[in-house]
Amino acid sequence: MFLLGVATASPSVVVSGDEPRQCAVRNSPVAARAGVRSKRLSLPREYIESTGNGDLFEGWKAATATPTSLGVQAAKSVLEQVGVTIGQVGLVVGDTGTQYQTCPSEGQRIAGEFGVKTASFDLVGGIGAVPHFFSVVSRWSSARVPEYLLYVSTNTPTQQVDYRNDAESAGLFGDASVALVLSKQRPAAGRSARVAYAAFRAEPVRRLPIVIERTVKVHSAALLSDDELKHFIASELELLKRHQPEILQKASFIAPQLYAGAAHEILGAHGVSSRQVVSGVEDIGFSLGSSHGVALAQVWNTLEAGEVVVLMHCGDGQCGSVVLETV
Amino acid sequence: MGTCHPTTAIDNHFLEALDIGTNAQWIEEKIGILERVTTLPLDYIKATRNRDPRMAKEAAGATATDLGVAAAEKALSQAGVKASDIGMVIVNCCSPQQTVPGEAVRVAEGLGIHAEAYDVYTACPAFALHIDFLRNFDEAKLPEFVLCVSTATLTHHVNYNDRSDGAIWGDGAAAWVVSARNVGRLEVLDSMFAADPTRCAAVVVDSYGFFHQDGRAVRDFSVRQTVRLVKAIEESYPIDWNRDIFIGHQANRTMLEQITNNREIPPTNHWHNVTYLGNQAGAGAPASLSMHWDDMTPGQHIVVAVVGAGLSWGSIVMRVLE
Repeated sequence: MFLLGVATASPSVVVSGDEPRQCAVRNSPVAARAGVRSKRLSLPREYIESTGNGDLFEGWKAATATPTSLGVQAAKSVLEQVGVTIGQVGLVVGDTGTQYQTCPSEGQRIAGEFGVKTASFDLVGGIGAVPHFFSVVSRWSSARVPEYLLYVSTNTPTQQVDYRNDAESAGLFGDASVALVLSKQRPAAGRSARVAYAAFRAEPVRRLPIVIERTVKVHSAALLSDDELKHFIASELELLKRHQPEILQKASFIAPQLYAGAAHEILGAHGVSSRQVVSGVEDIGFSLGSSHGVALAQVWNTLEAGEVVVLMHCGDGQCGSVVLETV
Repeated sequence: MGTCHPTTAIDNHFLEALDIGTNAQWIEEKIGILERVTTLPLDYIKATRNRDPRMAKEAAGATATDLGVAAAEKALSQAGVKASDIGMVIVNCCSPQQTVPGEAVRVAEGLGIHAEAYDVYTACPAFALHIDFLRNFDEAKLPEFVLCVSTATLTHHVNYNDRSDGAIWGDGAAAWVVSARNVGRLEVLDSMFAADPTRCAAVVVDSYGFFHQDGRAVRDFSVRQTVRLVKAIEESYPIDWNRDIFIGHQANRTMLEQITNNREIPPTNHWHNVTYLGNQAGAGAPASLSMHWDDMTPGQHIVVAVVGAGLSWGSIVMRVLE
């Protein structure tokens, strides 16, 4: 499978790291470790400041975007970017953790918005959804997949944040969607990438740092400690160097996005330069499974043939890395 | 394979006693369901009619995860496979307690499985989706054993003031162990999965609210699409309905009988469980097969044709081995 393009969408409301004001967003160590400087919100700032978003259903009514509308926006952008029409897409795969409806699937809602009768379902990979998706499709037989595949991971966690009482979540989350187009054929022209390496394994202890049951909660005890994050990154780099000895010098790195800020420093200690490290949360906030894709979109247009991007993930019971190589 | 169903039954007389404009005879004639099973206490339904589905979670005796774990334990036991042998867990659930993490993570955790776990989801046609999804993999890149689970507690999302929805839904889970390298009792010969998302609003479950559907449109679609699926299989495989077995989506019995009448499938070769369990969403069809596991005879084809939300549909053709 070849990745042909990546596009994102996020709401227009931008707030700085310690906003919205009058809300419990200051001193969020989780947001600091993620390296969040500003966030994109699909709730109006005034709504959050006046209500604290204490009622999920009222929040949904006030929202300026839904997971589906953001997903459709990203999907339209990526289709335009790669010059593929929705009619050429043979499979739509969705991912979300913030759905308004548990049925139908997000993939079906997004395909439905395009008005196409296309096979569609959800492949829900949690906070590592994008690297996990790459690891899945890298194992597929090309004989069984359609010419073009559209994947959309879309999340609006801010709509489920209790802004009055939950400083960690208020400081951490932002809303975004990412859409990818893949093809089983290498395109004759234009940028594309293939999954050159994918290795995921079970976490020794299953960690569930983010749980959404009406409201989103960060479970601090389930977060990787600094030592554990250092150990994880060091282990992954050892494995990656066996795959490609010069990878530390040449790759762009997308670390586990829940710890993107801390991981940036750890990667630096291994000799990875700052310009090689890409964050999908710094200007958007943590958008669950979409965050890796937001980071990938930032580097996509700058990639030259032969350059590689490493996506690392740890959480929800899995950890590992995926290497994309441009061709 | 394995199943798990709650033991509390809602019979038609109970629904009649709710005084919501229905009666036992009407339900039996219209949908052919006599009982459905629920994880909710009958006293809770009687007292509240589940007017606030958020309260169902507090009242329920079990979650979709609990049912999924119990079904999976039975499937593992029947397959003679240990939890530690499972290298991948995929789950379908339209009534999760939490939307993050995915249901598969909770099921894997409940089973003590340390392996890749993620949701592969389309609601009712999950049996076909899971089999077809796994057939997408290069067989050498699949782990030795994969655990598939479909679990649902849709009674938590039923408005029992609605005479139709209350009569349809039951709770349940089914699980099946799949291997590309180890021969079992059933061999998958073929599968397909497709969808028409332009009609995805026809069946909806609000995340923290009620189930809704355009009943007439869904019923017409279900019958027509299932007949098409069965016809396509009849044209490609040597199906003999005096030997082979049909299993459809367990939406309701009268719909299933329309299909079997159309394809001239005798009642003895139509396996179903909707009459006494209700519509268990994606768990119904695999649960029917699991409940008839000891009735399979070598050489039989098992034809599964399932439809549902999305709108989506799929089929599986399996052969019973010696």
